[in-house]
Amino acid sequence: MNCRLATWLSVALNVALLAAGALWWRAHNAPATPPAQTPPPFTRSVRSGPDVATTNDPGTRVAEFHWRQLLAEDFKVYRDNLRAIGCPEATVRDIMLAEINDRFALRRRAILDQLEARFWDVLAVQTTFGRDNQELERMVEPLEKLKQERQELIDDVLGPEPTDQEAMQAQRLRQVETELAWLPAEKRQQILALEADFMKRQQAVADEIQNRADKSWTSQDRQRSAELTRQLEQQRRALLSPEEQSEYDLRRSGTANWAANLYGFEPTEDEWRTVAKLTKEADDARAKIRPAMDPQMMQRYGLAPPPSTPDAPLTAADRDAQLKAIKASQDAAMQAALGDRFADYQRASDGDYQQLMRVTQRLGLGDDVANDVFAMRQAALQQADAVRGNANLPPETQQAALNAIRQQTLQALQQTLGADALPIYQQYGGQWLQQLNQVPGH
Amino acid sequence: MTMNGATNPGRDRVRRGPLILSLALNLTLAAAALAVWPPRPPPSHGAARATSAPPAHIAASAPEATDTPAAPKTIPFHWRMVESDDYRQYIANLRAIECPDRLVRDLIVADVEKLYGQRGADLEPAHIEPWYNATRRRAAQRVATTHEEALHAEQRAVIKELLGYEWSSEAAKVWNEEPIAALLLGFLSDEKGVRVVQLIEGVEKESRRIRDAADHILLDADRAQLRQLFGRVTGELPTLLSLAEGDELRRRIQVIKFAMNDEKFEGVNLTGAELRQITGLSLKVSDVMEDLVLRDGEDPPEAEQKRRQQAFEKDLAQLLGPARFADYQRAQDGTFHEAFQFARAHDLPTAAAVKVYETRRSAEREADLIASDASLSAEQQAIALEAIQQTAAQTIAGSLGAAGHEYLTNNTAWFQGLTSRTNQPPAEAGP
Repeated sequence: MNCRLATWLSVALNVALLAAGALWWRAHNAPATPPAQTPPPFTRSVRSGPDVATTNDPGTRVAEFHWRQLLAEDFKVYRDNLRAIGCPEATVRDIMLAEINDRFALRRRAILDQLEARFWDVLAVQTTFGRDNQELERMVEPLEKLKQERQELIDDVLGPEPTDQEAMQAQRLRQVETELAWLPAEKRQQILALEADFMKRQQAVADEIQNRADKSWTSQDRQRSAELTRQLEQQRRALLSPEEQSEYDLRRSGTANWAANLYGFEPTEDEWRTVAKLTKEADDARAKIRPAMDPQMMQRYGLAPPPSTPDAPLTAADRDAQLKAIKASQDAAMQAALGDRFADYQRASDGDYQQLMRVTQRLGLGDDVANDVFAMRQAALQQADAVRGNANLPPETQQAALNAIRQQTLQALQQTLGADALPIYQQYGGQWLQQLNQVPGH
Repeated sequence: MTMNGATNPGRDRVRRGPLILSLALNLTLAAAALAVWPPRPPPSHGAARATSAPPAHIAASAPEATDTPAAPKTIPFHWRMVESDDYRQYIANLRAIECPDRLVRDLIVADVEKLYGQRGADLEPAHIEPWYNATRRRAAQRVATTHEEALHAEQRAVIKELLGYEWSSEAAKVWNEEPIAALLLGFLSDEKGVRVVQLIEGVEKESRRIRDAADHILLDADRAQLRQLFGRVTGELPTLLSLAEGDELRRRIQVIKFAMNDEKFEGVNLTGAELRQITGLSLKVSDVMEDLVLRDGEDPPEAEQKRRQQAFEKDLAQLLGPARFADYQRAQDGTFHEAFQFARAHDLPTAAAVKVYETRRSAEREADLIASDASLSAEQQAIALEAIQQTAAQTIAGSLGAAGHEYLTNNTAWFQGLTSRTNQPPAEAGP
């Protein structure tokens, strides 16, 4: 072959080999596709078992294996056989539970077959002698015993069901993180670290108790646990500024969720904070009011402290007056804070309005429709009260007037809600319409 | 080579240099290609996405015996050899080592449920700020619920696809651990029992989901969905159960009403066979399984309810005969129920409750007659009523023995009512 030609052929071969190499390289070193957030169905998360040397060495062969090699009459031996081949503990548990269920299924079936023959007769006795009859309970006693025996075997073979503390703690931390989203990221992380440490230490206490023979909490344990909680609170306080601490306390207070059931009134963040604070103040003030007692009753039982004592119980009237004063003061403060929106807030706090809003939202009707219906309701109730309160009207006249109010209201409601929606409102929120034309004493 | 044919070694080396270099490169690249090129897998490994091939294959693919004197080293079987990141392969691997099908099923179901349980735990929780009102909270919650439901539906679909039928460890747990459920469904095989529990629970969950999504304000479309769901139950049951099993199941679900005394048969002497028949008849009034799905649905109009009840009672009267049908009618009376419960609580026979009930009814009838007898003066009425009261009290106390006093004390108002039912104006005081 011509040397020149040979050189060209050789170079061409090199190019081909290099191209093939490049293709191979791309195929094997392509950047990994980022894992999809949701694995496709049928893709398993392989449970890791104890490590083992597997080999592709042609000089080795894998021993022939059949499931029956694992089987044993004794569940503990069976369990140990599974462990010996490196079966992950979670899988061992699944297999043993399935096998124990299978073993008990035969015995349970025998009991069920016996019960089956008496099923209808026992039910007839139960039906004849009433709900409190023990016949059914007696009937299932053998099944209960078998269930207990099965559980004892499970505990013996597998121990108590392990709780995935790590997963539970991770979930709890995610929840805390969501709740603390309002804090700057750095502080949030610091608090999360405190929470994680707290959980670890609480878990250590719980584990210690679990390892004791009686597994019961002592007063010392409770003190230790309470001390850990106190420490966590202290550490958290040290991390947060006074404003942050105040916000933290407010968000965790009982009044924080005051808007949760409101329909038709959506507070701004500032409005929420103001109302929550005012509500908390009012709640605190209510909690300080002393209980009311019937003075005669107190006297009879020798309970009445001298009237001048500051902690003397109040009369019911005094207590009512104090409660009313607190409510008035709270309303005045809220009105000042919410301005024109206070009336909307009050309406939104009304249980009947909330139910009406649920119905109109369900029917896809606007808030204005709900507001109109609520106004009609208030007007109709006022008119009906006026009729009922008019002692000069004979009962028949009262009844006729109330019937007329009800009829007019129904017509007006039908116009506003529509013919299809009215029956739904009547069913789910319009019970007041049924009582609208009722005359007292009838 | 020179032009005259004479060779010039120096020039030849120069001219052949590139060729030699290129050939050397050829060899290097070819060697590299051989080193990295994957060996052709044996056919049995071809399609596996598995992390490892099935053990049977592993054993089969071990080198065949050769003349080489050294015997191949045998490595022990390890669980990792059945593991696969593909469920189908995992199942195939388990079957290849002859793992029983019921175990394969339970393993796969437990595995899939754990996988989806983890994915559920990883879902973003609903983001709810404290100032969100009910509308916004519901919307946020609905989004979160939709994700959870989608995941749950996918889990069920995966299990169904892998096993060929639906199965859940929750249903198996109910079957294994709830004696009453096992007792009610004890006429079915274990597998059918679990699948029926699964069907009923699934439908119950779906029914709850429809109701929750509707904020418990049901529109026609929601009711249609619920009816469709009930249709699913009635459609699926025949594929699971034989006709006779399906019929038995309906009766046993129906009997819950009787066992819970929603249908009152206290003091009515029934055989098991009769009760079984009655449960069938009671389907005419209401269907417990249907109620389970369509709960909160509209009750039929009052006239229709009455018509159904009458039809039921007509059949019942025929089944029980006049005497026991009268007992059934007595069982519907609150006074008898109360007396019956009292007798049961004091270990007294049914006959004692019957006696108390009949005495009370008889006393009431007599007292009404006296009270409406205009020929009697108020004084005469009062005397007669007191006599009725006294006789009733004595008879009742005698029927109940030691518990008599307690019964009389508990029912003082009724006894007083006997003497205060005069229609006559009270007699005027004498001068």
